[in-house]
Amino acid sequence: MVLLAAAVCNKAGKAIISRQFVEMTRSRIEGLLAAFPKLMNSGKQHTFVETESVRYVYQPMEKLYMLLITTKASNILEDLETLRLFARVIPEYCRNMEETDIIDQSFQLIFAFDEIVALGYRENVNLAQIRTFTEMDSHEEKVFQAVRQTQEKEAKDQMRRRAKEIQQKQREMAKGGRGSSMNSFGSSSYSRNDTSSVIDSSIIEPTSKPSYTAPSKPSGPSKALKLSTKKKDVDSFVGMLESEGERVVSVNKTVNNAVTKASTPAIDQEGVHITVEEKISVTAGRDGGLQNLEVHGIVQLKINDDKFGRIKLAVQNNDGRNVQIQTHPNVDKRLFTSSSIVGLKNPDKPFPLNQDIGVLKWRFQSQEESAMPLSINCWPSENGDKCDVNIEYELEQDEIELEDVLISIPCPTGVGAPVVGDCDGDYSYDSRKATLQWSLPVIDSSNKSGSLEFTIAGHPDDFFPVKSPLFLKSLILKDVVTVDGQEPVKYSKEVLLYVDKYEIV
Amino acid sequence: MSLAEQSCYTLINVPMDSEPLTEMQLRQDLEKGDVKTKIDALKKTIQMILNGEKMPSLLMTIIRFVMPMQDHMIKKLLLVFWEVVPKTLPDGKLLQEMILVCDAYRKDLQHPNEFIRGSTLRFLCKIKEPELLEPLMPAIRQCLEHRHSYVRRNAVLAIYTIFRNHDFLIPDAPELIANFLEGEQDMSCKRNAFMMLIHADQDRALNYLSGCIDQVTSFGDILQLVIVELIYKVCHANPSERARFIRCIYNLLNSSSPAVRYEAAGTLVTLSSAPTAIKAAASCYIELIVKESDNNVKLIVLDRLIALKEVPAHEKILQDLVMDILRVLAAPDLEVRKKTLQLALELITSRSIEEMVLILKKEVVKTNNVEHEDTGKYRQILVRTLHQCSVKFPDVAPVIIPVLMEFLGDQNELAAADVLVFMREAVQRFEQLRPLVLSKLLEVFPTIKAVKIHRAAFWILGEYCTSGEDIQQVMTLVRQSLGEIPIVDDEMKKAAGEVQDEEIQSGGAVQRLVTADGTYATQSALSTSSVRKKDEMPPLRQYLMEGDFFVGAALSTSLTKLALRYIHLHKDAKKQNSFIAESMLIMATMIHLGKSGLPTKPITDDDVDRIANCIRVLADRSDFMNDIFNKDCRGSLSLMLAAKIEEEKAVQEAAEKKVVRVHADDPVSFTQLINRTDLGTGENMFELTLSQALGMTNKKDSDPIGSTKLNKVTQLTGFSDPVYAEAYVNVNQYDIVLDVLIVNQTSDTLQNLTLELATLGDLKLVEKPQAMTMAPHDFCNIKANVKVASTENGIIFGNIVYDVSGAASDRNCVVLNDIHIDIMDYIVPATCTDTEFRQMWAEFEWENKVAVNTNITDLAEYLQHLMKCTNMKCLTPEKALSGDCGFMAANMYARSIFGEDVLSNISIEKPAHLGKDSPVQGHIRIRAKSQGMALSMGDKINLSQKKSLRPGA
Repeated sequence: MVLLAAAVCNKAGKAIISRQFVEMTRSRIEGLLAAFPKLMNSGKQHTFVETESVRYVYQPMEKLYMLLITTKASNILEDLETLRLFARVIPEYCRNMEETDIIDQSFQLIFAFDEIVALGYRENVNLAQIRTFTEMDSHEEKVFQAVRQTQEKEAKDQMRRRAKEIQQKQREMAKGGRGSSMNSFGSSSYSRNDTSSVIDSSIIEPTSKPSYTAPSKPSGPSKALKLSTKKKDVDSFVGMLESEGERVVSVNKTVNNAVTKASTPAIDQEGVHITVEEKISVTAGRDGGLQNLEVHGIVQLKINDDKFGRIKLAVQNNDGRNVQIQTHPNVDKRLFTSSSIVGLKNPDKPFPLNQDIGVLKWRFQSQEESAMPLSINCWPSENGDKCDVNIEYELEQDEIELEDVLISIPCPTGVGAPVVGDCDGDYSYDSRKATLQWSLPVIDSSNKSGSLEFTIAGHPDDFFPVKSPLFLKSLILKDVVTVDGQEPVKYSKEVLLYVDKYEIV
Repeated sequence: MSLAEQSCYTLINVPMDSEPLTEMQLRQDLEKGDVKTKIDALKKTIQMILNGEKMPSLLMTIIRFVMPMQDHMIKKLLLVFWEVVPKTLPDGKLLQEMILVCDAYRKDLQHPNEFIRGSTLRFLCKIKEPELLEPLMPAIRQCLEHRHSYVRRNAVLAIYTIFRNHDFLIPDAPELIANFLEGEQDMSCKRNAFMMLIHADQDRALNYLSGCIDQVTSFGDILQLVIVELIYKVCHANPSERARFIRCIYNLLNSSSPAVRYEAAGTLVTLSSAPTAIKAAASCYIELIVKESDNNVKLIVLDRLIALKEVPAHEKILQDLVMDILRVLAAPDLEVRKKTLQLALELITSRSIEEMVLILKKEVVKTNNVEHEDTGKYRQILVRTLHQCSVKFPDVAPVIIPVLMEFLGDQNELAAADVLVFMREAVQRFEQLRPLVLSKLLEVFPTIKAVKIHRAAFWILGEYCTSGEDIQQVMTLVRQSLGEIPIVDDEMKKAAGEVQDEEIQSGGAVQRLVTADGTYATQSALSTSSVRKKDEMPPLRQYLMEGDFFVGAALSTSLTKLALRYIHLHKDAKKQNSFIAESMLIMATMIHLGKSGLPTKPITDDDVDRIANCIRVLADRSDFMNDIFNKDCRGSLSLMLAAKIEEEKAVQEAAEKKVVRVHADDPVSFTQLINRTDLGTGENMFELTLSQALGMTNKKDSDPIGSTKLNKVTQLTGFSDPVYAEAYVNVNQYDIVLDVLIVNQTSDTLQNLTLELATLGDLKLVEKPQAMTMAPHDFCNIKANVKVASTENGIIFGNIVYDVSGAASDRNCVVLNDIHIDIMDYIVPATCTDTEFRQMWAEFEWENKVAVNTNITDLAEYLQHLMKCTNMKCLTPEKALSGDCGFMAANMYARSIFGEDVLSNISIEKPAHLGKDSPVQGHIRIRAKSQGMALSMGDKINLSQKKSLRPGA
């Protein structure tokens, strides 16, 4: 289907606003809209008109018409569904459904229309989604802004401290009887520093994440360093925010985000760069059993230097578990199965330059509990009309290290915040989403297990599914050697693992 | 690029009643105001730009003071603003300020707010300038990996459009998206990615599809829809692939989403013309029609079914499905039912006719119970269908007739009239059916309620009752329906006896009142009883009392026929005489009544003549008159029927002629030898309709430039004016482009030369042409767009204003000649049925009467001339116009491309007393819904009929 335009017309059929979804000239659309009132038929029981070139589908609404202009081959069933959605959007913004109302809210309507149709094709959205999309209420943005505020504050504090120190030094120097001209120069340079710090906090605090001047183009010295500092920041500002009454919802999201973003440009890349990326999704039963665990992995190869276009990778797979490995169609499959070497089918052809090419893919699926990186046990017990809930986690595999684990527990709505008794790590309660968020900065072999205890009015069933969108950092054992004409090549490597879904149902 | 040619995504019609804000005020608000004022000012700015104002000075203000704001509303409004604002200089170069904007968008693409990212990406779909997009590419790529599906799906779209417009910016887009698609879970993202592959790299799309072809049924509906689209496209471009996908399409035919089923059915038909495939598709369509409650769906899907029927090979398959199609009749909408019956009728065969008649009979019975505004019309359609069934298959007529006869007693005149037309045909054409029809007709005659039906029924009875018994029975019926004769005496008696009735009534003997013959008086004390009395008047007498004597005249002719026949049958002179006497009495009493002044209207002279004629025929009883009455009448009927059948046949033949047959000398095309471009014989339906809808399929200029273009050049100023201008008027469907050539004929430099245009009529100037400077003896072209909203005579006028450099004088001004817009460009001949014409004629408010003033001396020639110069189509059939009788009346009809109807009726004559060379006289009436249309059409006729004088003179 191709939807050309959506318009709101008044009783006489004159278009008040119209939004086009495909490229068309102004005269054309105006012509089409001008023709509509004359074609519109009243008294018939159907609401579409076909002309030689287009089809109009409309729906009367009190004093207005919602009109869609589509191509003639367009799918009428689909169009009608879209039309109904459009018609339901209008009362959202215009209470009186009158012409003046539409004009007042024209931009809001246009924004909403944009969410429904993309390039002439219907998007799969409902009214609630349209609302969220147009409201643009993003948690990530809030978190980001909070981070910025803390950074600013810290920077200011530090600046003040430094200023004091310098003043002190100056005083000492003055005592020491140095020249006064030097003195004045120094002070002026510091005052300049004072103003610039707001703009570029990295001058004062080089270890912190680069601030808002380039908000999402991380250019810190290295990924690891950046992460850890960021995390520290997060911890501090979350506490602060909460004391200010701000809701902080999902800390991990920003962190996760930052990492994924950072992962692409990443560390200094050699002539050959290999990225190993794994995604894990887990669904576990509430009594501890694992329902499904799936790991998708991909090895991506990026050749940055055309000298190394023709290479082979020797891969060693130490994992004895049932891992299905697939190679890219262009990769010589036989070579891989026989000697675990990844090379192109046509050895004379080089790998394309400066592109991430997935050469290997694997999928691992299991229902064995031991394969799960982190098991979560939730024990709700009824106690009168209240409910005591005990949640504990346990790291199943010692060799991995989990960072920024966040466990969110759905709580029954309308019964107030839960009373948390005992907690390893931090917790916060998001009253809007009615979830209790339990966050743990790092889980490794030193703190293999932990627990959280809280009491809230409700029923045990209310506390599922527990979701834990956590970020894992681990190393997958892979030995990689690159060979070109049996000559070793320098390469860089990056290993990532993130979590798609981690759910206890 | 002018505003009208630029692609336009937003239209807001703001009533411009309030004083528009000046640029100054807006700048102040944008610069200094708080968030709310800024939002308002930004909205105003966008609206003004949309209305064609140019505000270049605001650009920098917005970049400096509005762009850095973090408010979401402002961010979204800015996206719209950048959409509408001109981004290039007039010479096509990018504005320098746009670099700043570009940087802001790079930041927004990395904004932590996923919705801002998403909407920015969507905005980028509308950006055309590669210079702007280039720095954004890395950021766009990154968004593909964003955690939030909202961002990803918009990123895919952005990449898609960028790749489509400037593939050098992202040459690896197909690969990128293909990889993305592999790892994607979200349905919307998958759909968009897949869609992108369909358009950008079909092979990859196919690869992906083959990978998941077994899971297709589990996909979401929007994804299924694009899969169907892909299959359609692939199979269209490469028919050898068809086999691979039939299975998949068949699976989709059972999808849970009706939209997918519909689309799949459409594609299946193009994939295969095997009977099973067609049948599956057709059943799917039928199922959709029956299940979907929406009338729009029903109608459009029915259209698809009808289109399916057009292919001769498919018709056979559909014929088997007639019974299923008839299930659609359960829908309450009249249009749907009409279409369904039409389709069913065309598909009917001798095998299915009986079943169909049964179903139709059931439908007829159903309409008796339901009283709805459309029931009457529906019944009429049913009757027509049954009628046509029995014409096509005479065998079923005996079954149909009894059913149809029931309608004669119906309140609804339409259905009953149709039944009688059918009866007349049946009686004439199928002799064996006559006794059945007549006995049935006699049976239901007393229930007939409408005067027209009575008249027609009398005619049939009079014409076809041949046995003595029947004739006697008709006579009794007539007597019954007339009441006691002579009518006048009876009526007088009634009027006198009213008092008695009144007394009886007060006496309480209600029963006597019921049996009383009824009176016309209404002075009764009890209104209820008087109404009842009125009702009880025999039908025929009531008509007569109301002054409708035409039925009387018809009755007289029928009686005459019967009487003449009766004489032949019965040799007994006494009987003969008594019958004739009775007939004559009836006729005489009718004339008497007509003259008595009792009825509300007296009898007309025509009716008196007719009735008197009949009496005379009966008195004379000459063989000559006998022949006329009993043979020639029937002869003319059969002539008419024959003519009708012939006409139908001609129509059918014409329809059949359209069927493309392969001629013997047609070249045989081998699939293997055809090159790719030729293969798309039937163009891709999706793209075809899209380009149609966007108005890109411009009419091909078949004529060489010289003949057409030069004809449309209008000279705007004189040759000796300091500035010479001429315009080429190019009329598109909804707009007029004026291509004005301006020549500086002076040896001065003309500064600030502006073409100022204004319009009269329903025209609107889309944008003001810009001012320019012209060197001595320089020339330039200026384009101006004018929007047309309806068919009306429009005039564009204006002037050219300029300053002479160095001169201290005021601005100089050259007034331009008016440009008249010819409405004939908008009028296309159209057809409508007779009833539609009459209905419109009655509805339309504006009439323009134009007197004929021409030098044409031949009536037909005049009509031809008129048709040619007004683009109207003559609705009156050729036959009715043929012959030469000195006068002519014809109806003409046309429709504008804006959907306005225009009707005209011409009544012209050639007065005999003025001689052979006298011109045609008369007048033309034009009717239209709008005044402008009627007036302009009249003007056009006035002008063109005068014009025809010139070549002769």
